Amino acid sequence: MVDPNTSETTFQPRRRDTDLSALDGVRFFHYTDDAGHKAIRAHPDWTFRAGQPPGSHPFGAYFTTLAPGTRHLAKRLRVPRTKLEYVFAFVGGDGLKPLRGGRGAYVFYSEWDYVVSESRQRYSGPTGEFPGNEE
Amino acid sequence: MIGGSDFTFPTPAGALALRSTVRAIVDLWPNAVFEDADSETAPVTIDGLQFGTLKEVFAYRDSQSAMAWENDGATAEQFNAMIHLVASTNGMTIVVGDPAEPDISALLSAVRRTLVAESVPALVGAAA
Repeated sequence: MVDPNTSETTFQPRRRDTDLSALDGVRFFHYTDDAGHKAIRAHPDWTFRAGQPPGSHPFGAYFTTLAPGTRHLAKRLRVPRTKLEYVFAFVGGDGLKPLRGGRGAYVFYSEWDYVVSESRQRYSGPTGEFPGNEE
Repeated sequence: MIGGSDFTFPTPAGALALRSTVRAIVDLWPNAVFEDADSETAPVTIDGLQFGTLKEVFAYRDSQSAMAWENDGATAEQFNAMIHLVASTNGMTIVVGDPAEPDISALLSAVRRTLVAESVPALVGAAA
């Protein structure tokens, strides 16, 4: 399970057919840039649009359990640092699947647009101002 | 929010698989440096790696690429200059930039051959 008070995760890779209800209460994060941040928070319920990511990954909306301040975050997600400027944090992982392979320990996705209601929302804003961020 | 392409090779070879993959990368990139993803220490050459505890490694084409990745993350200029390795008990995941790039394609083929060859004795050992 994930310790939400640290920047590290002790997740073990999960099979796609694993019951993920145990992830309830775990914090998930979505990193984005300024434009993405404004678009997602335009409505009270956050909607993360599914799309085709670069590379071989499935169509979907992507999230991670790696908190702001995690070592080598941009490298682990393989994104530019500019894509880490803003972060959304929420609890519960209903409907999220782990990415196949080793990065499935901390990368999850939804095959469809993913809506996070206000009750699950915990933070949105600059990644550098995330509570507890050590960066 | 995610980049690269992930290739997972089922293998029971564990740490042996990681070592073999790192060697294949050195064959591809003679000036490669490596960084333990769970450490803050600076990238090192293959001789400086402590394989016994390694689970997740970033491999860079050279020290300049390592610095660029540290400063900027994934950029167009450096996208293919880093390979991310994630070892687990039953597989090895290799995350690359563009798998169609000739060097990267050759590396993936070499790793596949190596891991298949090493999996056979590992499986025999596991069954013994």
